[in-house]
Amino acid sequence: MPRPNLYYEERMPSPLQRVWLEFRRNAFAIGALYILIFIVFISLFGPLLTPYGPNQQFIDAISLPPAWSVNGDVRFLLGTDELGRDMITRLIYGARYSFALPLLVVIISALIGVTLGAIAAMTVGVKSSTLKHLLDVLMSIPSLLLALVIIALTGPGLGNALLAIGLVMIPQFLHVTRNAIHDERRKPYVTASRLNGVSDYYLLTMVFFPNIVRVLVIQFTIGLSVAIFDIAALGFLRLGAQAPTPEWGSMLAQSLEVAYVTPWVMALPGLALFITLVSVNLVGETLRQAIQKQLEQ
Amino acid sequence: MTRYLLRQITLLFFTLLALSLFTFCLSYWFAGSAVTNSSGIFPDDPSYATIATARGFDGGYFGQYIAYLRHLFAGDWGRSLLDGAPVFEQLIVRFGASLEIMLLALLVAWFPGVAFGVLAALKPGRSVDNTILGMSISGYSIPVFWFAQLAILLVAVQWGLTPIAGQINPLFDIPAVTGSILIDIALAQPANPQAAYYSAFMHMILPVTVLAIMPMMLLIRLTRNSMLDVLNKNYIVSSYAKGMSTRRVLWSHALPNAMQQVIRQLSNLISLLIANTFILEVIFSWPGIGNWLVRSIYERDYPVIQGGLLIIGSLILVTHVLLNLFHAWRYPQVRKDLYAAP
Amino acid sequence: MATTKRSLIKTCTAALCLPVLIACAPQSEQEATLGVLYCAEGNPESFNPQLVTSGTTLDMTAAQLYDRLIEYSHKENNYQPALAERWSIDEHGLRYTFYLRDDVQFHTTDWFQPSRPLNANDVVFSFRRWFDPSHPFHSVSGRGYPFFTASGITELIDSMKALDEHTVEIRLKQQDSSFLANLASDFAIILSAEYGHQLLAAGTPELIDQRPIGTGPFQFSDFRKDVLVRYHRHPNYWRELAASEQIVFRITQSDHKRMLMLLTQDCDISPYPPARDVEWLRQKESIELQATVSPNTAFWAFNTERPPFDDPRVRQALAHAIDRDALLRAVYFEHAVRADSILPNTSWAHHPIPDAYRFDPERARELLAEADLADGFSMDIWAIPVQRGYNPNARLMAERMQSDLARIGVRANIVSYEWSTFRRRLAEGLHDSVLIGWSADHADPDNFFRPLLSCRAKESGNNRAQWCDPLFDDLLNAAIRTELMPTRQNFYQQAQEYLAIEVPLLPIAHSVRFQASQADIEGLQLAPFGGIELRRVKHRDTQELRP
Repeated sequence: MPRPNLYYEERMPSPLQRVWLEFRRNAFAIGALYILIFIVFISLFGPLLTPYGPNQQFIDAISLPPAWSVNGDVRFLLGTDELGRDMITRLIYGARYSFALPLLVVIISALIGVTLGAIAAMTVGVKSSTLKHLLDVLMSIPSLLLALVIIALTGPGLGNALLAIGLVMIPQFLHVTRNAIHDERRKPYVTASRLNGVSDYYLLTMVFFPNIVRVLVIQFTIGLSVAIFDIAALGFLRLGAQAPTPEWGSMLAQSLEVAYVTPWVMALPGLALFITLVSVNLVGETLRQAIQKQLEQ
Repeated sequence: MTRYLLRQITLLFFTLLALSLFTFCLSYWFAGSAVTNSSGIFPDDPSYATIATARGFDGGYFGQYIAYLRHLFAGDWGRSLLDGAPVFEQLIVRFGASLEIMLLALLVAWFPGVAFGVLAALKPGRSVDNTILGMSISGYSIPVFWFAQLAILLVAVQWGLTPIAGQINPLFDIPAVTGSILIDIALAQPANPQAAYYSAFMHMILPVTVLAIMPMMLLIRLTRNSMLDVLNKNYIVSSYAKGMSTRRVLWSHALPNAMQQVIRQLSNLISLLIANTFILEVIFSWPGIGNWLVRSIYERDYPVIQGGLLIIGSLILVTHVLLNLFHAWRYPQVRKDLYAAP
Repeated sequence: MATTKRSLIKTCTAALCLPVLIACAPQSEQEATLGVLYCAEGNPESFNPQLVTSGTTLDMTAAQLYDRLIEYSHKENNYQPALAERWSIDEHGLRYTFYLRDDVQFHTTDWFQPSRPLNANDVVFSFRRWFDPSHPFHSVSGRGYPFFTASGITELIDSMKALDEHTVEIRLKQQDSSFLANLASDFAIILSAEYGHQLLAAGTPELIDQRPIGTGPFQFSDFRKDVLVRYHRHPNYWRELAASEQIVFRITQSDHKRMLMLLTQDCDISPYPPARDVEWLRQKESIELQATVSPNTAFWAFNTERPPFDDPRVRQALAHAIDRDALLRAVYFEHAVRADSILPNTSWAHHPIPDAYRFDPERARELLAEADLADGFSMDIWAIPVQRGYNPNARLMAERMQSDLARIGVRANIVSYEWSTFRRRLAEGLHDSVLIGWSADHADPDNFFRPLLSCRAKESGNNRAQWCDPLFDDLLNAAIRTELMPTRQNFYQQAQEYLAIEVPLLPIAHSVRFQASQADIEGLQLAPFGGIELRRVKHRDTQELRP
């Protein structure tokens, strides 16, 4: 129900809205955002768009170059790989493994991490600087290394790789949330709310959350970029997704065998990964700048 | 400073202890016998019972952990399950090899990274800044394993400029003592050291350059952002107002203070460097620790995994503390903050 | 951190000296880097070929470090003297006498200085190591002697003794027509008894297989796991000295990397170039490509001890499910012929039975239904992680087969480990099925049966099908008890027919073996049997090496 606008009131845009206004000014960032939306779209509806299956092999069309080259075939717009599988189909299916799954994992880790972080900040005394130091140290360990440890325990596989990345992401969100709340808790508006006698839950959701959501959004884009990279790297090292899964990293690993004869088979998955990562990082960096600018004002 | 030093060393001590406890626990978490996982001796080996006793497996967990630490300090890190080679000897050599390219890449990344960062910060929002920032973001986003392959195909195969695998032409008989090829050449004193150094240099170009790209791009952004921060500070404005030349302001006021923030975030950069080293070692057949660790995970060579994690973990922890110490030593104001904090 | 600092200083120095280096590098480099780089596919499991069957290890050790009593010449199709300058066989084929050369020197190294040339004691020492369990070295290295166990000659030898310093006599329990062929194989190498005694006295017997001493054209110098194996020329070799001062095996697991290294001249010789690149390599002027019809067979072996593969109908069904002609195209790029028997088409006992292995998914489904597996099942296919002459890309083959199998409702998982782990687990029988193969060690057809499919082969871990059938063993034994060709042929024919019914394995292809080298490498010969020989290999003239 829309609120009746009885009085003249200067509506202040919320912090997030203001960030968005600032963000919109960067054309590249908007472009990157559209790319990401497009990738989400093909992740969801990819199978409807592709004429073939990702592992369907055409024995008469092995290692065909992209359609625009002399030896190309219009049936296979971006060519085929050494098993006669359509590249574009595999790339589209790969978006699920290389973008959608990491995205999902980061969302889940973010939910868990933020919740835990909030609980930690609200209950445990934030004074324990030892805990802070230890978390700092944990943060300084590369996520890929932690994922490798977890995979060493669970064995290679896409599921395990996703699990590993998820587990690695949780403490990061926890850390950021806890620190953000810590930074905010002495500010006057929080004290004011406390004096009003609000419940902890209200304090968290209505007072803290709107003010730390920006930090979380940045952390989310960083986490997403790291997760996409790590999943692909693990696939590339043959510790993540296994053949014939059309995950971009493992496609790349497999394509090395033919890279010097049919370079497009190697170039395409890497390019897809590159575009995705650029988009995520560009959106992340622009958001960060927008927030920075807003804080300065 | 002493108080801070002591605190950091205590922190280091406890984190190292936690790390060793973790690798100790891995013996149990991995499949199979814990004795085999920590020592690399299979149960059907005649010396199995002796090894189990020596590692305290007839006693409680605490005794086992103490025995584990004792073995670690004695340099007995177990044997590889694959070929029975002692893990420690291999680790030392491979660690040297890894450290070598990491440090070189850091060196290569450092100067252009800072320079471009400063350049961008001088004209914020202008085309120079935008170009550098765009380059930095896209360079940072290139999947390093893809980039390495492109570089190999183009530079090595197409143009035939550099070799693509190993540290040196293996026909040079350079025994691996430290693992770092440059030091090993110096130690081996071959008949024609120049040729050996030249060969080693050519082998390094590709891996080091590719490895340096991502840290360099990150460094550009870190430097630019902290430089912008500093340039808006009052003391910079007042320096200009006093009539100091731009160069002096930059060199003696802005840059040192900007570097303070950069150094604080350097552990991000180091962790990026380590992760990428792992991947690149696999691609360039660099006989380093990452290459070995990845293989061992695939092969489930548990003693090697434990040893590799312990040494990489220690490297990270030690670097972290060293960075903190350096930061505190170089920038006393940071120390004051630290004291003030409860 | 001291290392760090020094390395930093070094780097800076190196960077500063760079222009100087570049200026003077090309000339001075030649002196230090005379030698040949051979890109090997994996780490050697051991430096003693008696202990192994893998071609990788054989290529790196057998003909390089050691010699055999006799050698097989494929050109003349007979046995040639090597360490034994002549030999005689009594009329019953039971007593063999070998007369040794007296001018054969062992390697002189930092860790061993021989006091005498080779004599009969060395031969007895080397042979007894694998057939006599009471020999002090029999259980050293603990790997067993898979080739000798599987081919049955450990059981065959009755006694062996040195008649005098240069004469050795071997008595057999029964006649065996493949005995000389086995002695000429890469496995029957001669070790130094003196070195053995020295190691025993020092309490380090296992070094005999890690720091090897032999009589071969090269002597061991250095081994860095995953990096290289280095040999130097043996200066007192009894034949013509090795052509190269130094030979280095660069260990590179992936075939595409070896290809690239060949292109960038990081390797001089690359064995087993990927089949898909053969045509492409042929067009490169800087690369020389050699091909030989080497008797080999790639096959898909089922672990007959594990259900459901213990049911012959399931195995037949799987055999009918695979479109092997498609595999020839996709994996071998037509550089192979379809195998319709385990025995290669070059052998005189070859007896193809195409019908037993024809591509027929209909029939496959029927057979599965008969075996109560109409709904299919899921299984593992182990694909060898390295390229061998018989199979250039097992993984690719497995992926193709995956889709073939899906058609009859069988879900296949592809499993792969690093080569040495792979072999260990395989020998333990942990697989459902495996894509592997066999290259002939010698010309006798027995080489494709007893080492692969006999009960003894199962004990030694070399029987990939874990298949032991007394009836089949009887056929094989009958075939070697006689020298009469027609009789032997008859027995081998029966054996192949029996295999077509039991299908412990599906033969896939007999392939052409390729080897690529830089165009300026000479003296490289691709022998049809056994490991590669590198003693005549060198760069054509003053070499121009890249760093």
